[in-house]
This record gives sequence, structure tokens and C-alpha cells, in this order.
Amino acid sequence: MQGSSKLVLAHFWAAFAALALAIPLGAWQMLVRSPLHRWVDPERYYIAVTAHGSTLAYVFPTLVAMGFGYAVCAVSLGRPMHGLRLAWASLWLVLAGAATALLTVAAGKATVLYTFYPPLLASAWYYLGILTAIGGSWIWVGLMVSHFRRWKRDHPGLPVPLAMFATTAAALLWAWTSLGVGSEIVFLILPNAFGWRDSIDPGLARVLFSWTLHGIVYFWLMPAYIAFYVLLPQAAGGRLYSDRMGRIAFLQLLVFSMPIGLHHLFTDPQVGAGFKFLHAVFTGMVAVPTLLTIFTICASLEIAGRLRGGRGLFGWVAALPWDRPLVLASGLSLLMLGLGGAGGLINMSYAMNATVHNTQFVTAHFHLIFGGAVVIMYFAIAYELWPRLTGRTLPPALMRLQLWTWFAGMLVVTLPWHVVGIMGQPRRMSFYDYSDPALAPQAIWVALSAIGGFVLVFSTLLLVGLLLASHARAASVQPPLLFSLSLDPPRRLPASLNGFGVWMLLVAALTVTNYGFPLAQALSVPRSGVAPSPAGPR
Amino acid sequence: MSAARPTPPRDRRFAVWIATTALLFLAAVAVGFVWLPVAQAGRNVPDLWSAICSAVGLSGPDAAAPYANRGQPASEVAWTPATERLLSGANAGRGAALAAASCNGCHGRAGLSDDAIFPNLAGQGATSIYKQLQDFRSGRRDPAVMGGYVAGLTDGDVRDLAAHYASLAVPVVRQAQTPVDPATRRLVDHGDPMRGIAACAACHGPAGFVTAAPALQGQQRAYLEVQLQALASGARHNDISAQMRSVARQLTPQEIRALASYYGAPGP
Repeated sequence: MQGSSKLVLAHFWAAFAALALAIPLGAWQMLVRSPLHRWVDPERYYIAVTAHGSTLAYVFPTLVAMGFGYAVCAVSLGRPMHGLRLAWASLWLVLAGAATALLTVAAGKATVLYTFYPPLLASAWYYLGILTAIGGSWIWVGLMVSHFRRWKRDHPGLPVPLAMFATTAAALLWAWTSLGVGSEIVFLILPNAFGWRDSIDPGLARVLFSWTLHGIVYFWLMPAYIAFYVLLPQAAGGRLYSDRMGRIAFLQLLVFSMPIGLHHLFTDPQVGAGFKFLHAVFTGMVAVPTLLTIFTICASLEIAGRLRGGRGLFGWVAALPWDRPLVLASGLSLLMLGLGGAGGLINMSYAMNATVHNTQFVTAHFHLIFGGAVVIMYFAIAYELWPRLTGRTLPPALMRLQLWTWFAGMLVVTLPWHVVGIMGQPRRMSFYDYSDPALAPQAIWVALSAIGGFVLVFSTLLLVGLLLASHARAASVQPPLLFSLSLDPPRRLPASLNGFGVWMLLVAALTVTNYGFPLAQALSVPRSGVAPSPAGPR
Repeated sequence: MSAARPTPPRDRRFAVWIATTALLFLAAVAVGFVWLPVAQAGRNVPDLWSAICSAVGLSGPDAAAPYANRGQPASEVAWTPATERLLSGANAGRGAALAAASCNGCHGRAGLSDDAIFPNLAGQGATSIYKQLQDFRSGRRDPAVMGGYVAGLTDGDVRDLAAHYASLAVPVVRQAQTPVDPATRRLVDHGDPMRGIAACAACHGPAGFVTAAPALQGQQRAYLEVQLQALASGARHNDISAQMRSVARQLTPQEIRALASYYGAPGP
């Protein structure tokens, strides 16, 4: 892979090591707060929650996006990468930051969950670790943008390959959206954590965090979408239905996924109702690129199914090569995306959200969408890249077993979890008294859900085992990675579909219109600070 | 060779997309900031401008009218950064000298009283002692007994006394454990959600401690019983937002006695 195989492989191994650490913690949490286990010390519980959330929000998906980004960059541009040393430095920064944060969490000094929740205050080391990891990923952003620009400069007038276009969109989205959490840490949290200040404005902190909170979700989603467009049609034996449609979808994701974050603050008093409505409307806009993607992907799969002899209205579905991991994972992913998306529509509706706000419904939702629909595609991407990175093949039956167990485990975890949320169970609590008549009906659902957690642990171990075992096998020559061809490969593209300049201006403008006033308001309220409350046992 | 460079096709997309986004924005603003607030507020909002202000998150013109404060606050202590700053500068040694002069007679030299009606103070959280002393000073808590002792204290004295008692060692006295009846255990650990009673242990230990909520383990049994009765009847009313009054009112006299015995027993 243009000399970057080791780099990509290192990213994927680091990501899966993080996953293997975080998934058992998640299963443990589900067990100890279920009626299957007696209660544990809440401090231990929140250590586990913070480690699980911080790893899976800031470290695991970032490493996958970075590793896959380098692979896309090398393969789609078809020339050696520059800045490999910087790329390694960025990986080490992410790992050092993650290790610092996680050790602080393990020491019990940072039980603040990955969303921080000021005025809760952790040890400064935790925030410095997170900041270092984010800073490391910014080097990757710089490298992606620089490769994009150099290629364009060297190939004037030619369309940038779709895979690289989409990866650059993901990098720009991450750069812009991580500014929120970055400024929250630098300007509000760290001065308190160092003891230079003794008051923090929780309202302002939450508005800043919401700047990151939804864009980050789409950043997690990007590798999965990129795989849908550039790997899946090829793996299914067909063609991408439309290259342009892909570009339009990625541009819309870039533009619309950040200025909508206030939908996480529907019950916060510091933001006016009008802005909540405005953000709800723009959140609705994100459905457009998602539906465009589902349409394009289904059309591409139909091409593949019909080429393989599928006939009739749905005969092409059965004709698809479901035994190939990437096709199987995409099918399962789209199922979970459909279910989770329906739940998401409830969360984003200003009125309906009130019925499920801060209940387990929300936790179930993001586990189904991210842990299910997105992460299963991370696995599929790894399976697709692995032979090209290591020269070793993986056993297809075991890959399928791993994907199926992940899918089944995730459904067993999240479907009862949604039900419990609708029954009113609040999230973020370490114990629930199921002997209480008001809570007793939830017990069976919580117990079911906890069992699913262990299916996911099995699936994770299988993944790591499979990949580890591959290194022991003899290497052989593997066919190179090819990205899908589209039905209408563009020879020339309008500037709007081949660059980001004007679109980034639109992103900035929407940030000002949708966030400018709430931020200015939060900044101008006098005496809105409260004393920080150190996390940990008293 | 610059002539060979292909010119990109004319691109109207920028204009179309940006105009569409702007239209969407304006439509959302019209609905979210004008139509919805007016439609939802009904007759409560006097005019269009107030409705828009409320949607933006600003208080409208009439909200500026002075708020008629009829009631009395339960306490004048607030956990602001200023209070935290004050407490952080405490001098426990000076507090010990002050205690020797006027407190030790009833509360004991080591902060352990001989009389079951006077509370033990050793090892109590500084915020709890600070708040109660301030409430005695301001009269928010009945100053019949304590009033004379706290009258001459300054904010700094109160702070130092709090730090002094917080620094004293909590005595570890282990006795043969009397079996605790399950109903009391349940009140302590889980509360009684159907009666709106939160778990005692969540704020008063051992499960958790919150600012200004006293640790209760090893407190004088009779003192606890009298205080719970006073909170239930409203004779004591210095709990902010009636947090304890609303709980104590729900307890039966038998439960109050059982809880006082539970926490009054030394050692967990």
C-alpha cells in the first residue's frame, strides 16, 4: 500500500486493542447494574463507565478513521504518501494521550464520564490526555488535507477520487467539530483543574460540548459511509450507482452535522426554545444525505444482484454474495441503521424527545447506531484491508461468525434497553432497586440486555483472535485493494463537487447563525459560574 | 501551456445550495422564533416582541418587573464560589482555641458530647457545621440554646470552628451488632420512592455524602430523634428547599425512632 501498510496496520491494531479493553468493561457495567448481580461501589462503576466511554468515543473510532484514511489516501491517489514520520508521531500522540487519560481514570481520579459534565471536575491529567489525543488526530487532519491539495495541484481539472474526497470531508468535519470540546477543556475546565480559577459555567460548558457532540457522531460514521460507497459495490461484484451522489452526500454531512448539536440540550435552561427548534430543523436535514446514501447503496447492490443473475422485484437481493464479509456486514449495518435511525427521529424531535430525555432509550440508541451499524463496518473494513496489509488471508466462516455474533449481541443488548428507556429508567446510574414495585417490570429486560453484552465480548475476542492468528500464517501474494468503479465515472467535475473551500465557509456561517447567539448569551450572563465539584470518593 | 489547463464547468451549485440553506434557515427562524412562541404562549404573552424574546432566551420587558419576594429563605448560606473560597482559608488551630472557650462544655473536648441531646461534632463535614452555625447566627435555626454562644462569632470564627471539628478523629467504637430490622435497613439504603423518601445513605453516608449534609453514623440517638421530629413538625426549617422536612413528614414516629437508633448505634 504505497509503503504505508505498517502505518495502517498499527492504527488498526491500536484501535482493536482499545476495543478489547473497553468492551468487557461495558459488559461488566451491564451486568452489575442488572438484577443478575449485587450492587457494586458506585466509584468503581463510574471508573468503568468513564474508561469505556472515553476509549470508544475519543480513541477507537479516531484510530480507525485515521488508519482507514491513510489506506484510502495511499490506494486512491495511487502514489507514495509524504509525511509518514508525522503520521507516526500523530499515532504516538493519540496513544500517549489515551494512556494518560485512561491511567488517570483507572486511578479513580476522573469519574466524569466522557462528556465531562461540569461542574464535576476530574484530575487535570485526564483532560490533558484527551486533549493530547485530539491534538494527535489533528496531525492526521493536516496530512489528509495536504495530500488532497497536492494531488489536486498536480492533476488540475481532474476529479479527486471519491474515496479521498470523502476522507478529506471527514477530516475537515473532525477538525471543525473538535474545536468545541477543545475550547471547553482549554478555556473552562483546565483553569479549574489546575486551581487557577474556582468557578465554572456549566451552561456555557454544555453549549461548547454540544458543538462537538453531534459532529463527532458523524465523524464516527464517516468510515462506514466511505466503505458503503467505495468498497461495498466492488465487493458485491457491481458498480457504484453514482459517484456524484456520493460527493453530494458527503458534502451535506460536512455542512449539516455540526450546527445541530443543541438538540442534545433540549431540556437545558440556558438555551432559548427558538434555538432548540432551529437545531431540530437542521438535524432533520441530516436525514437527506443518509437517505441519499441508502438509495445509492441499494441501487448499487441491485446492479450487483442483477449482474449475478437476480431477477424480479426482490430476486436480486437473494442473488447478492452474502457470504462475503463486507456484503454481510453492510446488510446487517443497514438493518441496524434503519432501526436506530427511527429511534433517532424520536430523540431529535423537540417535543417527542421530552418523553425519553436522559432515559436508557438514549443510551440504547447510540449503542445501536454507533456500536452496531458503524462498528460492524469498522470490522468489515479491517477484514477487507487485512490481506492487503499483511499478505495473509482470514478464514471466511469465522469472519461471518464474528459479524453475526456482533449483530445478534448488539440487538439483544439494545432492543430491551430501548424498552427499559420507554419504561422511564434514567441513564447514568450505577444501581437500580428492582425489588421496588415501580421498577420490578424492568428487571427482565435489563437482565436480557446484560446477556447480550457477553455475546459482544465473545465477538470481540473472536475478532482479536482471528486477526492475531493471521500473523502466524504464511504470507502469500494478495490481489491489490481496488475501489468501486461508478456507472458514470466523472471525467470533469464542477468546482463544487471537487473541493471544500466554499463549503467550509458555509459551515462557518451556519456555526455563527446557529451557535453565535447562544454562545454570546452564555458568555455574557454575569455570575453564572458555580464552584467545581471534584469527582471521586469523598 | 497554461491554455491546456481545462477550465472547470460553470458551477451554479454553490448559489443554489447556499440559497436553499439560507431559505431553510429563514423558514426555521420564522417558525421557531415567531410562529411557535406566539401560538404556544396563548394569552400569557402580551405581544409579539415578548414572544420573540422568550424564544431567543432573553427575558422580555415585563420580566424586568421586580419579583415580589414574600417568603423567607430557609437559610442564608449558599454554596457559591465565594463561600468555597472562604472555607478554603480555614485555620483549624484557631478553631480549637475558640472551641475551648465556649463549645467544649457541651460538645466535649474531643467533639463527643456526654449528653445524648447534644450532637457529637468530631469528624463532621466542615460544610455541615459551617451551615448550622451560620443558621443559628441568622436565626434561621431556632437560636434558643445556641444563640448566646454564636452571637459573638464572625464569619471567620465559624469557618475555623468548622475546620476544627472536621479535623477531629471520628471514634471507632464497635459493639455487638444488634440485628437491624429489614424495613429500617430498606429506608436507609433505598428510601421509599412511593412516599418520595430518598435513601438516607445517599446523602448522609455511608453510600454517599453531599455538601452540607451531615454524616450521621455514630451521632447521638436522642439528638437525631428530636431533630427528625422537629423537621417533621416544621419547628426546624433551615433545610434549603425543605429537603429534609419533606422526608421527615412522611416518616412515622416508629420509623423516626428506628432510624435514630440505626444511625445512633456506633460503627457501621
